[in-house]
Amino acid sequence: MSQARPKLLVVDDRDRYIRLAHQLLSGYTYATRCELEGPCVTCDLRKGCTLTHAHDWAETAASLTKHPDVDVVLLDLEFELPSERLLKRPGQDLKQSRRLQGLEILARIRQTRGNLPVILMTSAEDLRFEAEAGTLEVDEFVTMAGADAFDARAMGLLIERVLSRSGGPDFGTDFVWGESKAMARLGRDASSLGRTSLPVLLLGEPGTGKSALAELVLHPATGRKGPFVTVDLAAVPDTLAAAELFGSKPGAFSGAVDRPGCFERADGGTLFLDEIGNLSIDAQRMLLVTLQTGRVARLGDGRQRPVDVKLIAATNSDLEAAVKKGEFRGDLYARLNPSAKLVMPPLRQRQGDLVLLIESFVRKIFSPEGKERRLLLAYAEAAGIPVPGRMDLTIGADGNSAEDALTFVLSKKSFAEASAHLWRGNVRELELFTASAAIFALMDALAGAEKHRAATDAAPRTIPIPAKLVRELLAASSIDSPAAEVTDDRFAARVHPGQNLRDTMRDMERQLFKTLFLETGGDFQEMARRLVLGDPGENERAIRLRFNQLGLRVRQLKNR
Amino acid sequence: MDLQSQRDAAKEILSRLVHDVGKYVSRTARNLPPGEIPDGLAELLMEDLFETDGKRDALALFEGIVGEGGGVFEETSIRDDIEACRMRLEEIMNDRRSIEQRDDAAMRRAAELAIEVDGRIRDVSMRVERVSP
Repeated sequence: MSQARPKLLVVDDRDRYIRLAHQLLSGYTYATRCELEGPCVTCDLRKGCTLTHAHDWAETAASLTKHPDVDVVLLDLEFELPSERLLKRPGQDLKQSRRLQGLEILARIRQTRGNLPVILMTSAEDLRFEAEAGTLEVDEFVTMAGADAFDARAMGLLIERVLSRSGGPDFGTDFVWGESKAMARLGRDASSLGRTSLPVLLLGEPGTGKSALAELVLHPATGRKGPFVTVDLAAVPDTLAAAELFGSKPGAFSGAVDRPGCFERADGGTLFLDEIGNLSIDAQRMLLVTLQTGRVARLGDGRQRPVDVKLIAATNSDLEAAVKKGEFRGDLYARLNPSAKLVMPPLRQRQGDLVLLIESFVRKIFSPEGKERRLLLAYAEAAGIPVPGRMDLTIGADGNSAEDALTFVLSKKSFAEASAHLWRGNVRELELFTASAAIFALMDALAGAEKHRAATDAAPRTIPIPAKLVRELLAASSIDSPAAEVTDDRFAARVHPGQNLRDTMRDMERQLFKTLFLETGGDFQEMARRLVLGDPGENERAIRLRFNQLGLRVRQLKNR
Repeated sequence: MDLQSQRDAAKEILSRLVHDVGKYVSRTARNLPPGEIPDGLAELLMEDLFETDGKRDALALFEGIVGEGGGVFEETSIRDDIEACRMRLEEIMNDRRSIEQRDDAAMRRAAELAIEVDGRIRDVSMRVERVSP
């Protein structure tokens, strides 16, 4: 949630619903198109004001951009607007467009804001004969009249039910909640914990989206006006971690300058400490003192400065085990609120979200702000089609695409292969795979379009993702051998039927080299020191040679 | 006009009465809190009743829509219901001055009548739907 009170966006061609909502649902905040703080209900300028809500799709889109923290949309169905302000569907006359405009706006909201909860201000009964209703992605219907009419209290309960069911707010395509139970549970817990002043401990494998959850969900849920500051403690050398967190004064250490640390920079906002398990024991002690006192002292400075920070700590390591081994302070661990930790589920527990995630990544890279927007524009020009308004993904489709969409098609077989993939890098790995697949597929299509220079039918709007490409990308991202996998710091060797001892041993050796490479940060001399007795300098060359013989590549491992 | 055409026309008119009159006159009426009616809600109630489509009051709008039907409500029960709704709206209009002066009792009575009008229009609309799908 954006603040303690959920934020509503009302979309209605007139002002009756918004005025009623202001009177009857005063416990909520409202997304307006105004620069004033509000609330509208007490504003001296409210009479005749048209900025209180959105009257059409254009204003809805602008409101959602201005207010990315909208929690629920209340959407009217009929819009008595001039033709130029309506979203039109081919074959629909003006009367129909007006009568069912809410459904078109709903479709656009789903394209641009995913699972943002929408309450349609009509009864399901009223839509029962509408062919266009189809499988509406509406969270609830509400009617303000008739036997099923909702009064203010019921509307309030309905909004709360929708909010709790949605599992959390949607902040656009950057964070995709999906539909799995695991994520729904996470969303509910994240919303609750975000709104408190307590620290939050985020656990989960690498690439599951911990930093995205912290920035896009937890920080907005706090309602804090201060910034979101993030520190990746895995990327900060031990010797500099304390200075990074608490700041320094000249003289504190060689090269020290007068600068605030992350706690001061995040004052009034949220501080996200990623990979907190990497903190040295000394830095842990200082962090504990800060959490206990609410004050920081820059290194080399005795002055205590108060800080008000919402702390979110994340790790993919087992902190409990680290506490038992004496590598992490138990009192600090207790301060991080482990009883209310949030666990990001690995992708393998979100199989049902695969299509949604892939589609969201495709949309992201080709969106107006996306990195590959130019490729899309080049393709549209070469294929002679208008720039598509949205990207879709279908699995094993028949090749048809909506008029303003570009549809990427993944064959059923390819999707099955992707579903069976281990995705050890979780959502991050899936995002990279999707980006590569979509970019290569579109580049192929661009090359084809440039040769023919003419688009004669719907085919240019359909971009098949070749099965061979999918297999190659899956194989490239899965540098774990099928025979050996690493869990924690142990090897678990699997021997496939028919695989001989020599191949199994080679796979295990390959896995060992890969693990050491990652642990040492690519330091072959250190690898030699660990693997071979004797002078590491002399043995380094042999280790490098064996590394290459096993089919491992430095660049590939460093880019993980 | 044959019977089926007459029923189709009646359905259309009733649908418009449901959506353009019943829904709006009852919207604020359903949400009046106990005790004194707040100014904001009183204003909305008066707009619902006296500027129902932004220009016409509920009675004028109601009669206008029914009039466009050209006498399709020949069936006795429908005609009686339509007339009952019209009379209730007329009662609201007759009390307009008191309502606009924020007389609490007048506003509450108007709200009751408005909710009754909405309910009655919907009932008859559903009856006609069931008889002639």
